[in-house]
Amino acid sequence: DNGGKRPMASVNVSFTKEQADTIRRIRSSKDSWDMLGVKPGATRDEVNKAYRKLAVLLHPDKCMAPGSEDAFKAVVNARTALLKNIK
Amino acid sequence: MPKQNALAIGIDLGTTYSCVAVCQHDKVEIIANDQGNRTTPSYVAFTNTEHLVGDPAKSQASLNPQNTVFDAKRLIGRRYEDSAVQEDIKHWPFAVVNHESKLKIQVCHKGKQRTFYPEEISAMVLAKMKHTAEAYLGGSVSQAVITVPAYFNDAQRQATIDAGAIAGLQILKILNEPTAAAIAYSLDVRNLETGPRNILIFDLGGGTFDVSILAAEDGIFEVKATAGDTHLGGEDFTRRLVDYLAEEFRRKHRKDLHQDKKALQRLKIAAERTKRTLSSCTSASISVDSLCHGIDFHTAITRARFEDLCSDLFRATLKPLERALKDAQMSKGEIVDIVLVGGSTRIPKIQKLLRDFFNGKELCKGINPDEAVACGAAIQAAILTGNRTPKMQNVFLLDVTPLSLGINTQGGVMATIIKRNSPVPTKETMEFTTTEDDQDTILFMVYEGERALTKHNHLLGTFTLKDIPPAPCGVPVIVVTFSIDENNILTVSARDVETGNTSHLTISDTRGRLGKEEIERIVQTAEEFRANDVSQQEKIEAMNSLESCTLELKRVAEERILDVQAKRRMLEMCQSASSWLEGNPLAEKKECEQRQKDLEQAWDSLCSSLGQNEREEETSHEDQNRAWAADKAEPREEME
Repeated sequence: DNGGKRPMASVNVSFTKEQADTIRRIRSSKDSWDMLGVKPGATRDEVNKAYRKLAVLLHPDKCMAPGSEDAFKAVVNARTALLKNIK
Repeated sequence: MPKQNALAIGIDLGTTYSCVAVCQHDKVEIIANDQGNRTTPSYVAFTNTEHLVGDPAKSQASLNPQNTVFDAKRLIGRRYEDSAVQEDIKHWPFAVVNHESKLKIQVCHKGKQRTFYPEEISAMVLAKMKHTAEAYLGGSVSQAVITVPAYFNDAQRQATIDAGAIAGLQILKILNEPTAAAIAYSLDVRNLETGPRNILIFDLGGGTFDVSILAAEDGIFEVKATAGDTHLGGEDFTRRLVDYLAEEFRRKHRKDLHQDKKALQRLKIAAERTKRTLSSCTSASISVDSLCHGIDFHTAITRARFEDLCSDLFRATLKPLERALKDAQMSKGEIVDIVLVGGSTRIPKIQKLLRDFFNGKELCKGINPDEAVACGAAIQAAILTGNRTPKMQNVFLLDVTPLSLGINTQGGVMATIIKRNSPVPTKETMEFTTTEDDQDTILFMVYEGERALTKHNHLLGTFTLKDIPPAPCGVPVIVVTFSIDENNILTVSARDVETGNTSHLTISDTRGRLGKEEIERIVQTAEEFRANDVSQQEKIEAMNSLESCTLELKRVAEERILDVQAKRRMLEMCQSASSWLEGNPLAEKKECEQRQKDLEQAWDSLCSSLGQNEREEETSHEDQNRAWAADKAEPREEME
C-alpha cells in the first residue's frame, strides 16, 4: 500500500553494534548535553558536530536498529533545545 | 525494505517535463526516451484508438486539445474548490470535474467518456519513465526515488506516492527536488573542495518554485530552511505571453482566440518556443499559419516586453528567498554557492534579480538545470539500495518539513505543534484539555500552514477522542503527538492520560486521498491500459511487417520476374495489400498476419511455378495465364 514506508527492522536486518549501543546510551541519558555527548557549555559548532555524527548514525535511511527513529527524534529535539540557549 | 543491490532509478516528475536517471558503474546517467530526448513531456493524450504518453502526446496536442492532459502536478493532492485549481481550469483545454468531492479529469477515450484522477495521469507518466529505464537497462525496474517540490504539502506527497504505486513502482523515498539538486551539485566533479559551505538552491521549474538552504560538510547535507510556491513557474510565464499574443490578435483581427481551443493550443506551443528564444536573444518573431479563421498571425516581441509582462511573477520569487534566509538564520553573505535549477532559471531577468539580491555574487550554472534533480534522485536511490560508489560513500541527507503543523484550538487559533523547517523524521507532543465541563469528546482538526488562524491554513483531516471521563473544564490532560516520517508523511495521535484511551489519525484515511480499494481498482485499469498498449504495439508491428513484406515483394517482382503476366499479377497483389493497409488503419493484428501469410504463399507458389517454368519452358506460360484467369474469375462468379 504505502510504497514509501519501510517496515521496522526485522530479525534478518543487520545493524551495527555501534548503532545499538548508541540507541541504548541515548535512552538512558540524563539531559540534552549528555544525549549529544558534549560537555555542558559546549559551543554551537560542537553541538552541531555531535548532532551530525549521531544523525548519520541513527537516521532511519541508514539505521535499521529497533528504536532508531525515536532515538533520532530525541537527538533532534536535544539539539534544538541546546541551540536555543547558546547565543 | 529496499531490495539490496537491485537497480533503482531516480525520477524527476515535473509539471511540464519529467526526467529519469540511473546510477551505475560509478556514474549517473540520464536515460533518453524512445524518441532520443533526455526529458519527456508530462503529457498524456487519449485518442479514438489508444492513449499516448510523452512526446507523441505533446505533438498531437493542438489536434486534440480536449483530450490531451498536462499539468497534472498542479492538480495532484489538491481539492476542486482550491482557488489555484479554479484559476487553472479557466486556462486548460481539458475538463476538470468534481466527483464525490474528489477532483477528476474528464476526457473522451475510444469514443467513450472517461474520468481519471490526477494520480492516474501522473502514474501514466511514471510508467513511461519506468519503461524508458527498463528499455535502457534491459531488465525490469521496480524501485524508484521520486522527487517532489520541497514546498509540497502532505496531501500532495501522499498522492505522489499513490501515483507511484499505480505505476507499479515501489517508492523508496519521496525526495525534495532542491535537496536532490544539491546532492547532484556537490557530487559534480568540479566541486571537489571540502570544508563546510552553505548552498542555496534556487529551483524554478515548469510549475513550481522552491528555495532551499543547505549546510554541507563532509558529505552530510543538512537542510536548514526551505520555502517556495507550489504554483509558480514557466507555465505561468507562457500563459502571460499567450494572453498578450491573443490580445494582440484580437486587436488586429477582431477575433477572440479564447473561443478556439485548437488555436489557443497552437499559440501556446509558439509562445513556449518564443519564451525560450528570448532567453538567448533580445527579440523574437512569432508566426503561426492560419491560426484562426484562416488568418496568419505574424508578430515580434522583445525580451523587455516579456520581462514586463511577467515582472510581478519574477519578483514573487524574492519573498520566499528572504523567508528561507530568515528561517535559516543566515545573512546573504554566508551563502557560498547559489545553484540554479529548473528550466526557468535560464531567463536572464531571473538571474539578474537573483544576482542583485545577493549584491552581485556570481551564480553557479555548472549543472544542467533540467537534469540535476533526476541525477540527485538516482544517487539517493543508489544509496538506499546499497549500490553506493566510493565517491558517495559518505553522502547523507537531513531534510526538513516545509510547513508548520498543528491543530485547531478555541477561537480558530492554530496551535503549532511541529514548526516548519524541523528536521525529519520528527516527533512532538503537546498537552490539550477540554473547554467545557463534563465534555466527553474532543474533535481534533489537523492543519498545516503558517497563518495564525486555522481558517487560513490547509485542513489535513479530523479525528475525535471519545469517552473522556466527566470532569470540570481544563482538568483532563490529553497528550497530542505529531510524528513525521522520513518521507514527510504525518501521523497524529491523541491520548487521554487518565484512561489511556488513544485515537489516531493517519492522513491517508482522510478526504482528498484515494482509498485502498480505489487504488486497487485504478491499478487494474492501469493494467488494462498496459495490456492495451502491448496489443497496440503488436498490431503496429504486424502492420509494419505486412507493409515491408509488400514493398519487398514489389521490389523483387519488379527486378527479378521477367514473365510479364506473373509480374503484373504479383504487383497487383502488392498494390491491393498496400491499399488495404491504407484504408484500414484500425485493422486487427490477426488480419494483418493473415494477409501477410497469403501474400507470402502466393509468392512461394509463384516462385515454384516459375522454377518449373524454367524447366518446362513453353507450356507453363499458358498454364499460368489460365490459372491466373481462373483466380480472377472466381470472385466474379461469386458476385453474380
